[in-house]
Amino acid sequence: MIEESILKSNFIGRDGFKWWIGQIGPESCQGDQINEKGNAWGNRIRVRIMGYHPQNPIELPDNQLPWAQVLLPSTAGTGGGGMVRSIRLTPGDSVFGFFLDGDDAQQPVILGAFGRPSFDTKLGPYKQPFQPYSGFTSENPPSTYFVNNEVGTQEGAQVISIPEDLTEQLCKVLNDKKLQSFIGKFGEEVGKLKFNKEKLKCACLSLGRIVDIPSSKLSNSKICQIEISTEMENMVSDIKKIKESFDPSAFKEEISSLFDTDAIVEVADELESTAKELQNVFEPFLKEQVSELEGVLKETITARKDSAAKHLKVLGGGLAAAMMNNVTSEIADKANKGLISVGDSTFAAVFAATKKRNMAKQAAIRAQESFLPALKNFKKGMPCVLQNVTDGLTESLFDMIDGLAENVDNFTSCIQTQLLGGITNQIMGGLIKGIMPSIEGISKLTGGLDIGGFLRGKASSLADIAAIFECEESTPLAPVDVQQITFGGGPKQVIDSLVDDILNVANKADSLTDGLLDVADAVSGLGGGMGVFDFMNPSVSVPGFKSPFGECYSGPKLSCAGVKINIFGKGGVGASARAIFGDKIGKGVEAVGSIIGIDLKSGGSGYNGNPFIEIVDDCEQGYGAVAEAVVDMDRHSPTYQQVVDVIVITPGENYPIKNEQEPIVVDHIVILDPGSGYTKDDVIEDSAGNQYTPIVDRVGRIISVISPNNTEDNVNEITDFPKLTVKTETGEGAVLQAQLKPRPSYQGEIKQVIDCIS
Amino acid sequence: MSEKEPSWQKRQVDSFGKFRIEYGSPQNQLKGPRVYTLVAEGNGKDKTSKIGMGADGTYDIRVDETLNLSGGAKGTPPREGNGVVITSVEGGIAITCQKGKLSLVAEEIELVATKNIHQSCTSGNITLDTPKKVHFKVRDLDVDMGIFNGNSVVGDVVVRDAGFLAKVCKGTEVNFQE
Repeated sequence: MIEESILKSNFIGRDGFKWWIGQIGPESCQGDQINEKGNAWGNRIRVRIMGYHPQNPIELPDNQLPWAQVLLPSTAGTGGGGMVRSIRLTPGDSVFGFFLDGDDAQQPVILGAFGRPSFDTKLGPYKQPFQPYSGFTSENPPSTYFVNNEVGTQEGAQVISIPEDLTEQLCKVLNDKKLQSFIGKFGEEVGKLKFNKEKLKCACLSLGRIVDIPSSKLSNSKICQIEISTEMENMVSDIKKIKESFDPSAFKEEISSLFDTDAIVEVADELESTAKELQNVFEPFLKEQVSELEGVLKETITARKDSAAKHLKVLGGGLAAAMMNNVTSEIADKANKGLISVGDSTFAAVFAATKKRNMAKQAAIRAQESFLPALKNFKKGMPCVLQNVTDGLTESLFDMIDGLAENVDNFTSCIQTQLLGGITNQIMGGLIKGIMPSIEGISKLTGGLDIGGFLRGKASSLADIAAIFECEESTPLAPVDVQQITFGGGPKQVIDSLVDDILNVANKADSLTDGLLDVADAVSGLGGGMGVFDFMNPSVSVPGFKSPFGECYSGPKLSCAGVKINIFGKGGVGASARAIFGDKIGKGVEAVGSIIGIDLKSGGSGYNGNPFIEIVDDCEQGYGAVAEAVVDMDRHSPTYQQVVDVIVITPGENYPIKNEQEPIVVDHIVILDPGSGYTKDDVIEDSAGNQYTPIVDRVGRIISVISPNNTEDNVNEITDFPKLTVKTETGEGAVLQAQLKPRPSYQGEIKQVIDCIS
Repeated sequence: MSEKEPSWQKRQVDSFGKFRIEYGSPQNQLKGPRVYTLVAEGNGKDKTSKIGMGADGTYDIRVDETLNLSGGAKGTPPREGNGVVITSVEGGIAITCQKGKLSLVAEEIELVATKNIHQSCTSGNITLDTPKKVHFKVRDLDVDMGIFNGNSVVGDVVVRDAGFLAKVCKGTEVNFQE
């Protein structure tokens, strides 16, 4: 021993390199170092070294393990000059290092760490040395937001997932699919483990929610209608999410797994107790937990409904005020004609009797003035009528909200129309009920104006036109571009319930309730006829549901139409297009793919800028596709103000392919950036192997690209999102986009041209 | 049916526990893949934030709780004058809070439009409340009102009540004013 110590210097670099592999000790033994309390540097960690330290904490307790220095990479800094990067080692990590003091093995240094393998996904706390355990600590607990994978980099870049910007609905669809796929590949047990590691987590509950950006150039009633629809649609969607977030059966299963029944019986036997007694403990516990969660669920739903009610009361009041204005304006017009008529007839009568014009005139004015008290009374009563209508509406709104929340699973356009029809009917009923008694005093002037007939018969009573200044541009509504956006998505086309449709629904409801609201002594609230609407009927979510309003099934989707391309905004109309799919996965009805192109069917007209493209998947499973429209703004062009191209920016994935698609080829190339330095000898090639010829200008910009003739040349079919490569030695910066079309009928290659004229 | 398996070649991630930086994830989100993302979680559920750019060129800042944007925080006037500058070089700026109040509080508020200024509210009132005067400097002032409540008629000002009674009495010599 003495001889050995004489021979050994125990100095780093002189006695050989003594390396080791070890495991970082648990949090409890790391003291201030790991938790960075006090003045600790945080770069010393207690480590249990294989082959040097015993495998049990009794022989060598964790808190007596040696401190290991952590060697820092040269790019991390040392703390000098304020340059440093924190050490990211956690308890349980397997580390590699060497001893500064050679065989004395008291001064270990950590050089690096082994990444954690995939099976460490759900590790428990520290149990004993050299067993894998979780790196989470009291100061760094698992996240409620991130998927808590404890995996190293050797599994690939995808293992540390980040919550996705997807809607809850999409996450659910994708996770269900992923789980089934893993179970199919690896069996139930391994499949579920793998799924837990790779399942998607959604970034934000609000994604997918509709946000209104109404223009002040819209009429007040239109703004109210849009916002009422949006609030109701968001509420239905939110409540659906809240309900889906709590599945009592899954919860019971989870709790039951904690109370392993076999173990209960075993333990019960051992303790000479009965399983029944334990069950008696378990059952009330489960019941209590479920009831507590149900209570939270109920509270959350109630809070959401209250929020909607508060908002809708304001909007409903606005709609009522707009309709009230229209009605009083109509009454004023009629009364004005009546007043003039009274004046004329009085003047004529007095003049005929007296032949005195002045006297006749004074008599006419007095006759007209005799109506003033009644007119003033009418005017004075109107604010109260409006207040009563708004108050009456509040109660109905609560009922509507309850009905929608309970019965409607899918906020369809017919539900939207009925909803607006219901509110309109309620307002109309209230106005008629309120105005009828007051108008009697001036009925001689209004000539028995039928308020009900006016409100229920004319769309103008609903659609007040926004005041437009004189001399303003001829298309004042053209700048109204985006009125709605999908939160996290993009511009959304407003689904507009037509005024006539709303009025028809309101009138239908009125006829079904025998004009209950129009009767002066009618009861207020739900008695006013809300019950007739489909959204108040639980059967509305039963397939095949029909009502006097027609077919308005609003349950979970039974089938879906697939992808629709909406082109809207910028003052134009009529452009239409359809999606071209590629990157296809699956067959038949299960086929899904990316949107690799958009086939423009009609360019429309009147666009004063590039309109918005909304890609809507009715099946709610596709996501990620973004496209841009291009409008021809050359005044001399025959396609001036028409959409001439729709360019796919990102193709997305998982879109349903509803119909068998014809072969797709490149129709033409769009130059997004001409670049510079290209020559006429450069060649452009797409990912399918087709070649194109660039036309370049004097400074080497690509100003045009000649595509093969698809009817004559045997071009290769495009199946994936096309990527174009310019084979060049001199050029740079060109950005080109291949625009796709279904292949035109192929004529075959021209082998020989025979001139028959001689 | 198998899933689309994107290439993860480009993806880089730097994870600090409850804060992560990600670049080049090939996974599609609502607007296509992300170029980069900074994402973090605070204390407890629903206290998260995300900042990042999408492959479609859009840039998003999102936070579950309050988004604070402060300038001039040193407490003295900033060198460039404005503490916060929000600019949309092309296109509009939309600020929407459908269920809340939009408060603009300042020493002085200027609204300058090169075309029109529209103000409307679908229900409720528009109030101008000042201890001094309201100054309209316009070529024409059209007031289309239901009721005019004014204390005085001075000088050349002519008040035409365009309300209900005015409409009813239009074309007559009935004095409908109180």
